[in-house]
Amino acid sequence: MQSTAFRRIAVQTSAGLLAIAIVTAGCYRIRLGLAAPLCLDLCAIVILSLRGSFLTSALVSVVAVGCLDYYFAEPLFTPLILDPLDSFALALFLVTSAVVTTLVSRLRSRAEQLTLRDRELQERMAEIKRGQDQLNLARVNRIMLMGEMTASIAHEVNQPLTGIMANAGTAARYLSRDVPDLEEVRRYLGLIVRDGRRAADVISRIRALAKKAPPRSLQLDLNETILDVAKLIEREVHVKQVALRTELASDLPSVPADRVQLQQVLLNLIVNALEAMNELDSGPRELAVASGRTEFNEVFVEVRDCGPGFDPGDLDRLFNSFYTTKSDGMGMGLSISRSIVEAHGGRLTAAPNVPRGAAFRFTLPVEIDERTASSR
Amino acid sequence: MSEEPPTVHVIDDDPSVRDAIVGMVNSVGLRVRAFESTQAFLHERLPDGPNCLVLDVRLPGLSGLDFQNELKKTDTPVPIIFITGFGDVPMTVRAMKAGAVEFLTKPFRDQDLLDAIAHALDQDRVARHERAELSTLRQRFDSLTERERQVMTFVLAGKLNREIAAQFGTSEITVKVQRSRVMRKLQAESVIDLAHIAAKLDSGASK
Ligand SMILES: Nc1ncnc2c1ncn2[C@@H]1O[C@H](COP(=O)(O)OP(=O)(O)O)[C@@H](O)[C@H]1O
Ligand SMILES: [Mg+2]
Repeated sequence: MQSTAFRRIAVQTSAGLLAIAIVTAGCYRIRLGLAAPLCLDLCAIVILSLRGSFLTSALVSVVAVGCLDYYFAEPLFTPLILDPLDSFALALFLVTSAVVTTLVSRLRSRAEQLTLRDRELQERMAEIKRGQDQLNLARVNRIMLMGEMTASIAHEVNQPLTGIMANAGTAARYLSRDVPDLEEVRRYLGLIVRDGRRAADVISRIRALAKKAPPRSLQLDLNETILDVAKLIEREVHVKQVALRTELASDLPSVPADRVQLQQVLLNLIVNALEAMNELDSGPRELAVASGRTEFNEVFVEVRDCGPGFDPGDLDRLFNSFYTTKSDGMGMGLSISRSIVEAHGGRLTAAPNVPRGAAFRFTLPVEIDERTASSR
Repeated sequence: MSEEPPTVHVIDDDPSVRDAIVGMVNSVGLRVRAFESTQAFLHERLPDGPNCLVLDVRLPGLSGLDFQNELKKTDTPVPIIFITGFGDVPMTVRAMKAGAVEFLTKPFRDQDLLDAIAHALDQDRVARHERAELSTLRQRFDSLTERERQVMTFVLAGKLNREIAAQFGTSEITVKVQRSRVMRKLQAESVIDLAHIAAKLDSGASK
């Protein structure tokens, strides 16, 4: 570092001296007066000052004045004695160098400041963009969650609603007979009440799910979350004739986590598992959701299915955004799930299940690590 | 042959919907039977009368549409009214193409379902009638001898008794006797009647 600075000064000094030598020799050869070499030397020093340090310029200035005095100023060929002319020339050269080098160095530091500011700006912009991406991701998140839940909810509410409408028609029919059959009317009103209660239950379940929880900081019982989600997909599991088994650790500590987000992760993994077993023609359709503790003060949740599993070669790709092997897939489920889990300081991984199928497992730290959590 | 009264069969795994449809059908005085699954339905003997099926598209096990295909393969196809929570278009189209009478989206107006049921029962009544008629015709046709069938073919082709006798190398009298036996066995009153019967047998065989 220092040696290159030194070399640069040496090179610039030599170049300056060479320029002075050329000017002196040239002007002397064609017998010009004092003014011409004075101007040319000045030019050389200005140019030198633009690139080099004041020290270089000062050194070259002294040499230049010496040369001018020796070769051009009367009496010729007398070594430097500081007469008024010499003093003037020397002062001129030195002031010029000083002014130019200060100007240049000021400009240079200004330029450096500008590049620094520019870089900062770019970083800030990248940060904003990253934030926006995350926001978009969060939005896609919500939409997906909403989509998957609304289908389920619409069905759940539609069933009792169908019952209510049909029963009301039936009751009206018994009522409008010539001799109203009040016994039957009462019976169908009873069914209406039953179905109405069922619809109300669905609504209150949704309300409990959607209850706005501030992200993180909340102590979450993952077992409870698993059971909530299991309840939500009960019918889907029933229709697809899947046996859902939960293996929940009884001593599971609560973890600081966002309830809605973790519901979403679970929902994604379970929906994937159900979809994987869709194509199954024979064999057991078992879906296991397990929870437990790891040896690193973490809790884990594992979703295992008996589907066709995945090619180990695709392991890296599974979690990429938009990677999907389904004709109507979006390929966002796993990528969103992984970013949610990682935002909580945990990890989401996939492995083959034994004897067949896939196993997706995520871990969450029991104590939140400020570094990993805030870096997101 | 005494016929059982019309029966509506309801297959839905959801108690709210199942009970409601059963009640609705009962209230208009129709006989109704309810099932939780398609398997349970298949275990029961189908009553010997007009039938129709009210079927949820999304059922555990054999889905509604697959069930429809299975049922079509049997010799007693039952008209189906589909009900679904997911009124999705491709499914509707598939079901309609496969011969569903109606496709109702939950929640449906009760009159719509009752109309569809009435329509389906009518349709099955007609189909049953045709099936019964065809089977008696077939029985009668089966009672013909080989020679009588040949005579029938020639008669339908517009041949005279004399021409038929020449063809078989028998007397005209014999052909006349055979011919009247064909008419009697098939209960045909004229050659035109015979042609009608033959057409029915033909279209029944091609089904
Ligand atoms: N349980 C599973 N078994 C086998 N393959 C799976 C499983 N879960 C996910 N995959 C694979 O990972 C892909 C990406 O999943 P995901 O991100 O949820 O998107 P999508 O479900 O929309 O396809 C799926 O298309 C599938 O190929
Ligand atoms: Mg998915």
